[in-house]
Amino acid sequence: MTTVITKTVAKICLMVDMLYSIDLLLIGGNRPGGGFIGGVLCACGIGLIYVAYGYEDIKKIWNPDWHSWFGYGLLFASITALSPLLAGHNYFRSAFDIRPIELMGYEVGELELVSSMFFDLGVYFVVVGGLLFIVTKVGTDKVKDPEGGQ
Amino acid sequence: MSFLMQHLPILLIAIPLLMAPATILTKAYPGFQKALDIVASLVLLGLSGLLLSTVWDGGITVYEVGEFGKYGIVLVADLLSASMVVLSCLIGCMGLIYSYDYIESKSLNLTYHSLYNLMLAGINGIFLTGDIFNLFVFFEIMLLSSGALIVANETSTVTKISDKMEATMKYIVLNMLGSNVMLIAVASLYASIGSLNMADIALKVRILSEAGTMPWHIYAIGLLFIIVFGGKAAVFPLHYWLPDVHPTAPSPISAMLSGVIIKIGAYGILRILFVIFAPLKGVFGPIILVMALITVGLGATAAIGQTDVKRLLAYSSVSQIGYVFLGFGMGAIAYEAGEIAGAVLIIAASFVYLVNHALAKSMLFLTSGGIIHKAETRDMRKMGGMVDSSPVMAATFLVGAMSIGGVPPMGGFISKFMLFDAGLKSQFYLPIGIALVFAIFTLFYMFRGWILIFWGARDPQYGEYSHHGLSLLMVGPIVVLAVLVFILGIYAEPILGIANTIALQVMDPNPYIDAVLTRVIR
Amino acid sequence: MNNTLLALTISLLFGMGTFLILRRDIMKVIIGFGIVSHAVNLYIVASGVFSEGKVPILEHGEHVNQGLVYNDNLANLAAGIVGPTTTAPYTEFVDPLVQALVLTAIVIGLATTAFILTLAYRIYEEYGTTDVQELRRLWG
Repeated sequence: MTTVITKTVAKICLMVDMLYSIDLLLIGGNRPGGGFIGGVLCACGIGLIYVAYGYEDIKKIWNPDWHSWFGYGLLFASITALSPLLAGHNYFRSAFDIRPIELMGYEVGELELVSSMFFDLGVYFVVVGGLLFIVTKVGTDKVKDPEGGQ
Repeated sequence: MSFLMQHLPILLIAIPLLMAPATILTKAYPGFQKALDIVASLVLLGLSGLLLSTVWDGGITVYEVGEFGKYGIVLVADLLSASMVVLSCLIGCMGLIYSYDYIESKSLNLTYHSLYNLMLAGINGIFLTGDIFNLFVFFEIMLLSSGALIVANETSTVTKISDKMEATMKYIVLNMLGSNVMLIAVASLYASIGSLNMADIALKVRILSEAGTMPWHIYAIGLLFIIVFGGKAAVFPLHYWLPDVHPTAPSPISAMLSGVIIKIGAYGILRILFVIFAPLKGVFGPIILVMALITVGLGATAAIGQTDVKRLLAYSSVSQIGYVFLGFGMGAIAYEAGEIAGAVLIIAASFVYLVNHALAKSMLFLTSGGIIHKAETRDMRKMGGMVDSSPVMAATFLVGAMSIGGVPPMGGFISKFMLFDAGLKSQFYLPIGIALVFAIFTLFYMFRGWILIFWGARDPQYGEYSHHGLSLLMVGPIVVLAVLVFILGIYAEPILGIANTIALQVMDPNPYIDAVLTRVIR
Repeated sequence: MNNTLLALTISLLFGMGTFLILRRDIMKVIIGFGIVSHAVNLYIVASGVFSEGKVPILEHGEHVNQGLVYNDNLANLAAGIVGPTTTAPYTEFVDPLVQALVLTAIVIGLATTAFILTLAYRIYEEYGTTDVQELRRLWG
């Protein structure tokens, strides 16, 4: 399909890319980042693998239904947005809490828990699912010969 | 119950948004998926009726999304929003029921339901939101999902997929241009007023106008909004995409596009130019009036020569939306001239016109889907004598044609009569005269279409009509909408009452501003 | 000086985008739309810089309890001062709201561009060309 250099670089890139996309997803609460940009990065990494190794080869090893990923993400985001209604608050209300992390009696840091994180996770899956759905759909179609072949 | 009443406005957006993924994930069980979606759309219809009755009894309802305090996004359900939501939920529900036998099953199971639900969420969001940037976001949701629905496959293969894609390209490209213009307008409005909340902007624009320090660019922003909403509603200089897009879409989607989505433009003009830019009505009124008159004439003239049944209906939509905008223009001018009562009458009349056209035109598009199913062509010259094989469709098409043409027992008569009467009372002799001439054109082309399709006999060279009858799922929604059109004609008092109150609220935005700005901040 | 450069950039991008939108090739039209939407995004961001460009994120422990950050004085408005203005301790921050708007606009732009690119690809599949002059089945 492609050269050895591309394949090797794509493998290395995928790891860095996935880690950074998860990092962006997690810090999205109060720093630049978030579900959308993390999802785009993740989709780019997987798309690179598709390009380097060919869709048909990757399909034999790992073939998720990206359309369903889109559905699960949207469902997750939608339920997260609806859940404050059960607690008597309005739609999309978010809550956060800062918990200290203790290690053997010493406070070593703190953990910020944000409920909008779950919404971001839903967005992440929507973006990954949506983009890769398009990539796989368009990538597998064969272009018909306009002059009347095939 | 109190839970329901408290969260009523958001549920109208949240339920379709929840249904969109639910219908994707149940794609392996088509029966369950259809039942789920139909129940959801019926629930939505019920909730919208409940919202209308709540707003009618208890005044404007304000809902804070996310509880961000003063600067958060609010949903505002006043009578205009609530009645538009009822309209969209009604036509959406009917279109969804109709789709089950009309759309090809693969496309139906895979993407159709979720996109349809997203479109409903977008439309309801547009009508309910009280934040001008949020309006833009819902515009885009509606635009993308409706654009993807236009290319959905039908069971009949009359419309080629390449035609659909070309039409969608036109639709998306033109509306992308519209959204960029809207983004510029919203950003300029924020930069010059310092707020995105519609009520807040309305208050500040009024204060600026009273102090006489109105910056000149507010006028330019208003003109940009006319371009945006005129493009959505297909008013004269931006009408040319509609006659390509509406006929090539599947019939239920055509019904949604013609019934609800072009009404979004009319809603936007009412909301932005009459509520937010209330002191500037007199500046924009004549522009809207002239554009509307050209639209009326152009649509009616073009519809006369059409041979394609759906293209005829599409050009008729262009012409009819012109009448609605004619009412807006006349209302603004009358208000500026000091005739408040006359202006209220005109706006109420154009709202009644809007509702009647939405019901009648969506019914006609659904009927045209049945006609195409039977005749397997869209060319009216190749039809004829269909009254024998499908009397129900002949009757419903006649009801629709009479309503659009303005023949007495139907809803269209009441609306046309009210509009012309109100216009004459405020001495708009020339515009009403022009509109009357083209009303005769309307009568001509609608009945020409009916006669070509249903009377006479079909030329044998085009073959027989297909014998399989239409299923109940297709006939039911058509009949329901036809009955509604008929009822609006003989018992119009409720809609007239609602329209009158809406016109009063549009003309005097103070209750809207008060309801939004003096709410309790949690 | 900076504002002039920014305005020039925005106008240049608008011009380039408009030129590309008026081309006959669908791909060039789509690229033109991308450039125009970037110009619009820049325009929105430009409307939110007050005086200095400090990041509007409060560090941990710097919680604000004063309530209103933005000036909401209607008398000020009647005197002719328009636009979002800030009160004393916050003048060095940029307006965070416009950045949120731009983020939303970028996300929407991505979705629209993805859709329209897929559509353009399918049109190429069906017609074998991306020249708008040749796609004339709906003409007339």
